[in-house]
Amino acid sequence: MAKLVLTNAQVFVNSVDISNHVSKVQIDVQRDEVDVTSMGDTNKEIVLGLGDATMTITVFNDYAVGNIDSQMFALNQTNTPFPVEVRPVNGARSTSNPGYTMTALMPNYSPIGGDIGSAVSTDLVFRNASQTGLQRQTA
Amino acid sequence: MSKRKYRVAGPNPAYGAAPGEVVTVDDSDPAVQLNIAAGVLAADGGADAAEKMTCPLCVERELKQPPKFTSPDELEGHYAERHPGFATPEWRAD
Repeated sequence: MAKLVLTNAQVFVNSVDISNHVSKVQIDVQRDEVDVTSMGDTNKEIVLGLGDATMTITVFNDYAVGNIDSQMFALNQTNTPFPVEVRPVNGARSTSNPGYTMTALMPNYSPIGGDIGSAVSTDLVFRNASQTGLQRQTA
Repeated sequence: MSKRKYRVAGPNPAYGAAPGEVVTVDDSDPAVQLNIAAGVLAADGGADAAEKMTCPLCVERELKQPPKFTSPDELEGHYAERHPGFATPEWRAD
């Protein structure tokens, strides 16, 4: 696939496709940098340590029954991890359309926020909650 | 495990189905229960009729109303009580 202009990413939160409310997606994966520089070394040396992952999904909130707010409020209140997935293009997973999946929890949720006259928009921040971390799946 | 039919009640697709369509999900799964509580999934008209498996041995013995079981645990208990010595088959919805 050629370079991509992001116009039609697909987002699943707990098996619900919320793409039609999403305005921005951001996935961050990091590993700790552990300094193992020793006596006699001339340069610093690191090894990678524990990993972490965060998915930040910006959505226009929707308070209709069974829509964004009711779902996200329930997910914020639970300590049961749930699946989250983001794909660059709205379509089946493939080698050119990988699905980034993570078992997550949502520690923070802002159900209402914004200025007068603006659309209600909120960031959904999903934090990794399993030892598998962020996975890249092509099938 | 208890698989039942639910209707996608929210305006967004869920579990691979469009809004209004019926999906079969395991409602003992906490993640599914969250969606039921949030109104994403609603009980379908036939949701009360959970998927069941008929005891194959009772069918062979031509019982008029062979018992049906909604979970592997129930089937195993039945075999232990009524069909000792027989290996419990794998639970599979009729």
